[in-house]
Amino acid sequence: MVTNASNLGRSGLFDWLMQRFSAVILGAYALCIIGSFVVNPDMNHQEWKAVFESNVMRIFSLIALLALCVHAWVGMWTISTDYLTSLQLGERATFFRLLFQAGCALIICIYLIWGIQIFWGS
Amino acid sequence: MHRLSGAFIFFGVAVLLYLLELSLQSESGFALVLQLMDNLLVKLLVWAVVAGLLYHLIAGIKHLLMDLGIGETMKGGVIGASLTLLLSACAIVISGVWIW
Repeated sequence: MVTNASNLGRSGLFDWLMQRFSAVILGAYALCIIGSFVVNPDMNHQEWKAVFESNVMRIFSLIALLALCVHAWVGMWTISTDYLTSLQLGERATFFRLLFQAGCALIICIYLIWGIQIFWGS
Repeated sequence: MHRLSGAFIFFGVAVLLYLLELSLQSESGFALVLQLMDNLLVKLLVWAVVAGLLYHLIAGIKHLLMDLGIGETMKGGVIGASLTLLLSACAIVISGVWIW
């Protein structure tokens, strides 16, 4: 059986499930951030900082960050395997697709490290 | 549309992360973000990313509901799609008002 070598979990069903799990986490996090703006629309620096400094929020932010990485990888992988194929690019499709996926992986790594620095640094 | 907005916010999130980092860094960083947000181009950029996020969020909720078997009929699909566009448009306009 030929399986794809660059998908997240070696199984489409696993990827599908992870995409939905991470979606729920990201949705909850987005609503949480929107909620903090609604409750207190004119925050100053101290109040804004306090929102992200509590341990609960730090953990939630980290989980959301990891969910973002998973979600982005599965999403960008799906896009690349649907639109960067031999149908559109001919013989060199595999090369360009892997190049694109490598670029996405790099960006995701940057987001992860950067995000950890923002939420957990200092 | 869901894929397009997804790919767009994949890159757009960098803008929000940058502003978040700056705003949390220090009092002056926070003031700088407020100052940056006075700039029309920054406003448009942030609004574009927020719009992409809101659409992706609302369409994503619709997708999850459909995964649960809600609105899977032809009629349900049309209602779901219309509702998604309507709610997204409202949310995007409200976020625009809030940014300005």
